[in-house]
Amino acid sequence: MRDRLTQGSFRSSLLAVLAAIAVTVILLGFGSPSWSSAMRAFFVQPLTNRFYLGNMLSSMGYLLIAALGIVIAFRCGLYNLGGEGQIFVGALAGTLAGLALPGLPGIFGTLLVLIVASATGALLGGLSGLFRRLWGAPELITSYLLSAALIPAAEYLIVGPANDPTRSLLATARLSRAYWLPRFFAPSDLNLSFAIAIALAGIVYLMMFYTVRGYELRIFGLNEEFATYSGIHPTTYTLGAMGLSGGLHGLTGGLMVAGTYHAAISGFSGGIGWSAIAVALVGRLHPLGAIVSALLFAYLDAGTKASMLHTEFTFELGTVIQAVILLLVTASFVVSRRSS
Amino acid sequence: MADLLLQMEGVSKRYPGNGVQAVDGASLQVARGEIRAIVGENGAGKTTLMHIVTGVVGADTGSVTVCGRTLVTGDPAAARAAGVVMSYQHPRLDRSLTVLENLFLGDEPRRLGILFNRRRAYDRIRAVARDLPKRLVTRPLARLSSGQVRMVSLVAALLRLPTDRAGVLILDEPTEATTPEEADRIFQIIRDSAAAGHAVVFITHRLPEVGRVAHTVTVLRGGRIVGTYAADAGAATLAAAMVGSSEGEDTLHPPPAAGTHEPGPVRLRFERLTIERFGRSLVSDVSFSVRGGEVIGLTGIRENGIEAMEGLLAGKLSHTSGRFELDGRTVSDPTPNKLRSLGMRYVPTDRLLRGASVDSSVSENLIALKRRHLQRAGLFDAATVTDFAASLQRRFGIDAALNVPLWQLSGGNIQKVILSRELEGDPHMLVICEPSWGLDFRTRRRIISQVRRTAQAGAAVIVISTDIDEVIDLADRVLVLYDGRIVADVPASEASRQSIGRAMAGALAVGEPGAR
Amino acid sequence: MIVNSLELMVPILIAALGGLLTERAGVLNIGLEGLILVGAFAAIVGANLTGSLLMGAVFGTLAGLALSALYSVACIELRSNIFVAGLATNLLAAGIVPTVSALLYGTRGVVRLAVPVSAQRIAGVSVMVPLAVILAAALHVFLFETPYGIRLRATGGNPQALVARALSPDRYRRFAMLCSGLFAGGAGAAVALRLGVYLPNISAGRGWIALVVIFLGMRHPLGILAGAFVFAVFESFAAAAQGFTEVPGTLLLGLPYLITLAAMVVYSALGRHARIER
Repeated sequence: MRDRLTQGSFRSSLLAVLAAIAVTVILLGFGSPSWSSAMRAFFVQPLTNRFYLGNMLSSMGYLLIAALGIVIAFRCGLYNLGGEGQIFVGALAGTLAGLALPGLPGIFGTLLVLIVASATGALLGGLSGLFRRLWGAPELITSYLLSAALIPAAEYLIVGPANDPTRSLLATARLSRAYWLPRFFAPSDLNLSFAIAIALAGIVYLMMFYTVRGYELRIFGLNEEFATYSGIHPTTYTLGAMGLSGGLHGLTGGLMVAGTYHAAISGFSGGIGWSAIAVALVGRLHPLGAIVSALLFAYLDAGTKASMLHTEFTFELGTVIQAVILLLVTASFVVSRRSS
Repeated sequence: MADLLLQMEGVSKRYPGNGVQAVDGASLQVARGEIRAIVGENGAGKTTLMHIVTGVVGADTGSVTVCGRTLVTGDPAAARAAGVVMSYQHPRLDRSLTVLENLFLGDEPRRLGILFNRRRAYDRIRAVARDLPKRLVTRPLARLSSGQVRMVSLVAALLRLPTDRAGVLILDEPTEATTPEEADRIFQIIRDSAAAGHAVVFITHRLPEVGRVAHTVTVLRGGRIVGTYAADAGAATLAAAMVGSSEGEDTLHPPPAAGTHEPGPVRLRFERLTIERFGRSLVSDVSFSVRGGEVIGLTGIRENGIEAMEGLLAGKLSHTSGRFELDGRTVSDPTPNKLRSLGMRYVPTDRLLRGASVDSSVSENLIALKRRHLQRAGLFDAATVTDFAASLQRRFGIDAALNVPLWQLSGGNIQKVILSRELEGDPHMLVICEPSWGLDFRTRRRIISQVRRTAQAGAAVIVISTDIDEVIDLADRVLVLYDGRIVADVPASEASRQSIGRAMAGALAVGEPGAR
Repeated sequence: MIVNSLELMVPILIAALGGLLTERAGVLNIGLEGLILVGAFAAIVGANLTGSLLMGAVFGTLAGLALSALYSVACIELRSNIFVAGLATNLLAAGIVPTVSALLYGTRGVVRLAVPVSAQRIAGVSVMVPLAVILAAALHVFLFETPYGIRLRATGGNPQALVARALSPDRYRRFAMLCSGLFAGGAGAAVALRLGVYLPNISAGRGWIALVVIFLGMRHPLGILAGAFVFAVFESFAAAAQGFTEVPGTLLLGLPYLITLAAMVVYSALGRHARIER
C-alpha cells in the first residue's frame, strides 16, 4: 500500500509548478477587477524593493528548514503530516520558555527559545515514530491527529492564559529584545534564520549522502526489510527520523518567533507545514533541490500576498497553489518502465 | 493422429537478453488421455517449453499444434482458445479472498443477475474435483496450508479446461510443498482429468512421482529432448538421462572439499533446537554443528522446517528451546543486528525483498555491509567507496555500471551483486538460500565455485535449498528436514538424489524406504 | 441522548463506508476530510439555490464526486502518490470552498441555509439514520455477495490476481474512489443540512475519525456501523459535558482528534499480532 515517494521526476516538479501558476492566473482573472494589475502584483512586485525581496527570502528560509524536516522523514519512508502542529506548538513552547526566563544574556536566551522549540517539535514527531515502532500505528494518521489535537490547545493558550492583553493582536507577550535574531536588509524582516537555513540544507545534504547514518536512513526508507537484514536498527530510524523531522519543524517555529514575530500569535503556522511538504517534493526530496523550490515557493507566496490587494479572495490562493502542486508533483507523466 | 492433442515440431527458443538457448529443436507429442511427465535439471528448459505451449513465450522456430489447430506461438489467447490450460507454480491468488471467490474471480456464476451464485460455483468445482470439501472452499486462502493452496490452483486450472471437448492441462510442480496425502489427492485429480479425455503434461523434479502417476516421461537436458520413456523406466535411467553420461559424473560426485584439508573449529552449533510459533512447532529437536571449511546442505520440502531455519539464521525468528551457538557464543534471542555483528553473512531466499534495495544503485547495494569502513573523518570517502565497489564488480563479473539502480539489472546480475557483497572479505559464517535460483548454467557454476572458495577460506557454510541437485552438488554433508525434524544426515558423496528425495518425502522417517 | 448519538453517527458512518470501499481497493483515503467539507458547503449552496433540502443533498454528493474525480485522476491516471494526492484533496477543499463562498456570498465564513430544516422523522429519529444503516447493510452485500465487490476486494488484496484474469485493478480502484467521493459528499451534506448552516471547518475531523473507524470496524461494514456509533456516543457526550464543565470551547475543538488518536493507537497496540499474520 505504501508506495514510493521518489516516483515521478524533475519533469513532474516543473509541470506541477506550471499548473499551479496557470491555476493562479485563472483564479486571479476571476476574482480581480483589474486582471493586469493583479498579474503585475503577483509576478513582479515581490522583486521590486528591499522590503518585499527581504521578506520573501525570510519566508524562504523558514520554508526551507521545515522542508528539510520533510525530506528527512520522507526519505526514511515515513509520512510526517504533523508539521503544522509541530511548528505551532514548538513556537509556542519556545516563546513561553523565553518569556519565563527573560533575563538571560541575549545569545543564551535565543538558544533557549530555539532549543525548547526544537525539542517540543522533536517530541511530537518522535511520539508518532514511537507509536509506529511499538505498535505499527500509521505515523501518517497519528502525526496529523496529534497536530490537529494540539493546535486548538495552543490557540487556547494564546487567546487565554498566555495572552498579552496590552497588545491588540491575539498573541503572547513579546520576547525581550535581547533574544531577537539580528536582522540585516532593513526594513524587511530578513534575519539570521536565512543563513541558518542555507547552512542546514548543506548539513542535511552531507548527512544524507556522505554519512553512514544518511546511507542507513535512505536504505531504510527504500526497503525496510533489507535494511533490517543488513543490521540497520529500525528503532533508530523510525524514532530518529520522525524526531529529527519534528525537531526541524519545531526549530522553524522557534526561528519564526526569534527572527520575525517575537511572540507566538494566533494562526501562527498558517499552512507553512503543508507548504513544506510541497517544497520538499518539488525539490525531489533532495536537500539542495529544496533550496531552489523553497525560493520558488516563497516567491509564489509573496506574489499571492501582493496580489491580495487587487482581489477578493487571495488568502486562499496560497492553499490552492499548495493543493495543485501536491496533486501533481508525484505524478508520472511518462509511462514508467517499471510495472511493480 | 486425431488423438494427438499436443504436437510440437522442432521448437527452439533463445532468450535475447542473456543469450541462453532455452529450448533447442524440441519435438513432443501427447495423446488424448495421456499423462506425460517432463523431467530435467533446473535450467533444462522445462518451463520455457511449457510456456511456448501456453503462448506466454513465443518460439523462434518450430510449430505447435493443439487439438488439431496450429498455433501462432506467443499468443496466450489463441492457446487458451485451443484448449491449453496451465497451473502455475506460483499462481496469482488473493490470500484475503475465500477459495471459492479466488476460483471464480472474473468468471463468477450469478444469481438474480448481480449476486455471486456460490451454490452453482461449488457445483462446478464438484464437477471437476469431487474431493474438495465444502468447508475448505469457504475459507480465506490465508488459512490454508501450502499443500491445500496447490490443490486450489490445480482446481483453478481444471475449471478453465473446456467442458465440451478435449483440452491440454499443463502443471508446473503440482506436488511441491504438499504432504503425501495431499499429493495423493492431486494425483487422483490428474488421473480423473486424463480419464475424462484431456491430455496432461506435468513438470516435476520428483522422479518417484513419475512412476506413480504418469504414463510416459520426457527427459530434457540443456534445452534438448533426450528421450521419451515409459513411466516404469526407473529412477536410475531417468537420472542418468537427465544429467548426461560424462558431465553427470562431475555433478553427481563433486570432489569432496572437506577431505582435502583439515576442518576448522566449530563455528555454528545447534543443540536440541526447537522453534514454535503460534502454538505450532516448526522445528523440533534439531542438533548439528558446522565447522569452518565445511558446507552443510539443508534441504526439505517447503513448510517442513527449512523456512523456519532460514528465519532463525536470519534473526527473524527466535528458538523456543535448545541452544544456538555462533563461534562458541550462545545466541539467546537472535536479531538481524546481533547476527550481523557476530559475522554472519546471509543470502535470503527472497532476494529482492530482503537481499537488496532495488531502487538504490549497484554501488549502494554493494557497500551495505562494509559501510562503516569506507569513511574518512566521519564522511564517506568517494574514492574508497568506488574502489571497493569496483573491486567486487570485477571479482564477481557484475555486468553493469555501478551507478545504475539495481532494478535495471538482469536477474543474474542482481544475484551477483548480492552474493559478492555477502562473500566479500572471508566471512566466518555464510547462510545461502536457493543459491542458483533463476540462474543460467554459467552463472550457476561461478556461484558454486565462489561458495566453495569461501568455505575453503575457513567459513562455515549452510546452503538452504529445496533443490536436491543443488545441495548434493554444493555441500559436503546433506541434512534433510521433514516435519521439522532431521530425518537424514549423510555425506554428500554417499547421497543420491533418490535417497535424499525419499527422506524429503518422509519415507525414511517411517522406516519404509521407497514407500511414500 | 441515544437519538442524538444515532443522528451524529450518520455522517461518520457514511464517510467511513466510502472510505471502506477505497481501503478494500487498496487506497487509504486521507482525502475524506476534504470531500466532506465540499459536500457540506455544496449542500447548503444547492439547497439555497433550489429551495429543496433533497436537492441540497444531491449537490453535496455531486460535489464530493467531482472532487474525488480529480483525486482519482491524480492517483490512477497520473500515478501520483496516494497520500500526497489525498493531502492535496484536503487542501484543495480548504482553498476552494472559501473562494467560491466569497464569489457567491461575499463571505468566507458562515453561510446560513435559507430553507427551513424539516427533517423527516420516523419514530422520533431522523430518516437519515435508517437510511445510513441500510447503506451499511447494502455495502456488506455488495462487498461479499456480488462479483463486482469480490473483484474490488481482490484489488486491495492482490491486484495481480485481477491482472492474471485480464481484469483491470485500476477500474475497481477508480470506482471505489468515486464512490467514496459520493459517500463523503453525502456525509458532508448530512452534517450541514442537519445544522442548517455551513461553518468554516464544519467537517471538524470527521474524515479522520471515519478513517480510524474503518480500522476499528475491522474493515467490515457492520463493524464500522458499531465503530461509528461508539464515536457518535463520545461526541454527544462531549457536547453534553460542555454544558456542565468550565472547559473552554477552543480546547474542545481538539478533543475529537485526541480521542481518535487514542483509538488509533490502542487499536494498533491490541491488533498487533493479528496484523502480523496477515
